[in-house]
Amino acid sequence: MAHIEIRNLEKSFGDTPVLRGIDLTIERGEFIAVLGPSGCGKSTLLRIVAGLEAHDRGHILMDGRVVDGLAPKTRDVAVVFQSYALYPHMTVAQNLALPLVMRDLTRAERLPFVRYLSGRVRRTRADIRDGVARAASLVKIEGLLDRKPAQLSGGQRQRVALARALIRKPSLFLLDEPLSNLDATLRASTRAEIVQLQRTLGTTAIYVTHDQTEAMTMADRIAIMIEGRIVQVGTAREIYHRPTDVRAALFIGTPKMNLFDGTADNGAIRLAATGAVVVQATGARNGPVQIGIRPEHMVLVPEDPGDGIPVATTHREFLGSEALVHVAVGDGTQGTPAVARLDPDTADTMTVGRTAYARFRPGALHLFDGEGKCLDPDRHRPLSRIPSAFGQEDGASDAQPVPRIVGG
Amino acid sequence: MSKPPRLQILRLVTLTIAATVLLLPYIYMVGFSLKPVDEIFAGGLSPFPREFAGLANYAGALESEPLLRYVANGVIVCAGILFFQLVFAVPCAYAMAKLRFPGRAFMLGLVLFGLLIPIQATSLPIYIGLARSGLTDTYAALIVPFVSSVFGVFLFYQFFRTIPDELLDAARLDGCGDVTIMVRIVLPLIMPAATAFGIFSVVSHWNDLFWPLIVIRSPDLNTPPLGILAFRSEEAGDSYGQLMAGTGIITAPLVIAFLLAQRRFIEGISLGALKG
Ligand SMILES: Nc1ncnc2c1ncn2[C@@H]1O[C@H](COP(=O)(O)OP(=O)(O)OP(=O)(O)O)[C@@H](O)[C@H]1O
Ligand SMILES: [Mg+2]
Repeated sequence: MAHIEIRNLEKSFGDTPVLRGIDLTIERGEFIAVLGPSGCGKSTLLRIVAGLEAHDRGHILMDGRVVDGLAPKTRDVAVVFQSYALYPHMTVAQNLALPLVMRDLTRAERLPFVRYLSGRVRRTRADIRDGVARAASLVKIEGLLDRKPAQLSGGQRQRVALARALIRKPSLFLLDEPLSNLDATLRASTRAEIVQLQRTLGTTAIYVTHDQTEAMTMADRIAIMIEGRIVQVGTAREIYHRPTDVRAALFIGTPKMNLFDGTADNGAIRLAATGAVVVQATGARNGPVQIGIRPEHMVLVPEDPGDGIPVATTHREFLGSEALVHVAVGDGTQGTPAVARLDPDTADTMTVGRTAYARFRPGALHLFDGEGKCLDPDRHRPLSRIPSAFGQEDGASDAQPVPRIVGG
Repeated sequence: MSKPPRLQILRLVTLTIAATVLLLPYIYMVGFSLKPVDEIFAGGLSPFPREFAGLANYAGALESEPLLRYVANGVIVCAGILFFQLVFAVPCAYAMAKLRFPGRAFMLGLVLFGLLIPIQATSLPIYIGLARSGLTDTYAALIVPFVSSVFGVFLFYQFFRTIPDELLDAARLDGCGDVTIMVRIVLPLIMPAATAFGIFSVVSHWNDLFWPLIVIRSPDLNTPPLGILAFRSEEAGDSYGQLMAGTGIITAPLVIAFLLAQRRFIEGISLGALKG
């Protein structure tokens, strides 16, 4: 169990900067997910923490001790690689035993015949066998110990890789997209198992993934990483409801958050496509802004309530418990695409090809400045209250079914 | 067997014909070595002797020339060459495939360039070098020119590149140092490549006539092909049965070694060294 602190970590491959100043603190026993698109440097970060790759600038501290430049084996970390990296010429039992053999026996004691000479070596070897059996039973692969990796299914290999990582009880687990080679059903069940294992062992874990579902369902906290920077760290809820950066906002949530171009004009936030004022934000500096709203906070009605924004309905998807209605905002069907999540009955009242009317729930709006930073002056407000800076305070809460539209 | 039997039979027949064509010279060689001279000259296509003279031929061959000594020379030379080739080629290829250092691409270019140069082109300078250092007509003269094999470097380089870096990283995390990684992970994985390379190397150096002919004078150091050459020129004429018996003795170690190695070779491949 280790406390990890990453300070201003930088790394370039040649002229290409890959990590551009990573700051991240991970508490003892915490399960943190590093979530980001392909190529953003997640694996590189993991490899640097493991000691497999050298970094250019910054520091890594484990339990307050700087570990920069220390060899991987002295850091007491274990990695589960995306490819599992099992030793193909060894049986599962030998794969699992290797970390223990390397740790518990000296070079001389590892020689094959020494066990016949030394009782101590014999005892250590017996302990190792017990350890292998225990680790195998933790991930339920007791029956596979004599197989070679080539004779295992993808899911079984994945379990062997997990067992090999946890067998010597490291103080830090690093997992690099360990589920990406599994099929959907297996992935869902393995997710829960990995979390459970981590909870039982209490080991600090960094879990790298580009799958938001994995990050949201497994991790205590999520660090969103984009282009070599951590743009936001927080629980899944925090990031979903209060993204501090437009890229974090877009990365979490399916369908994606709807985003519209807008302008701030003396506190009035206008939708560029229609010119409608959607909200008042006194703190906003004049200039371009981006207006974000989650699909479930965008309400569509078939008839104009008087203050609705006309949108063109382009597509309707029935998903059982809910329905998604795709619309274009402004400029007919060529306008900015957006998605509203509605209950199926409401969605049925919308006709594809016809104009519908959208209302944005002011308290659920997200405003981002030209650089994509959240404009919300007080993003630590409780979720249920609408701050006065975003439209007139009227006691409306997120739970209120029909929202008000400000201006028009 | 799930295969349709007709396809099976077709495949068997094709393979048998191909194997027979390839093996025919060898079969005749063995056949002749068992026949008396007059039967050989009488012609006839059957490789099987009517009158068995194998014992006389083989005994005669072993008596007239120190064939076993030649075979031993061959073993010493080939083993020496293979040993040093592996010692030099494996680490070199490993470094080029898995380590990052300046000039790597250039070195690899040199290796590829080296592949294009035949031994005949460099034989003269090498010979002069050996002669100046007084090494001609020794085992060293037979071994030293071949200790670095660009072909070996290239073959192992290609093979190392198929070993994923993550495998070596995993070993490093499991506490293995570079030597342990070599011994426990890399060497077992390259066994198929090493076997294949061993076959190439041993076959070509066992059968090499060109180089031994240049650097060897004393009959004691004759390699197997030189031995056959000596045998032929001395005995010549009518003792074809003995000649074939001698050839048989000299090629036998190679055939046996190949059959043994082939088993491992196929084993290594079918276990899918790098799968999973
Ligand atoms: N050894 C290397 N040499 C040069 N560039 C590299 C090297 N390793 C990674 N990169 C580059 O660094 C960037 C980040 O790579 P990294 O593997 O960390 O991405 P990732 O976030 O793990 O992506 P993915 O989700 O696809 O695994 C990529 O643009 C990649 O091309
Ligand atoms: Mg990666």
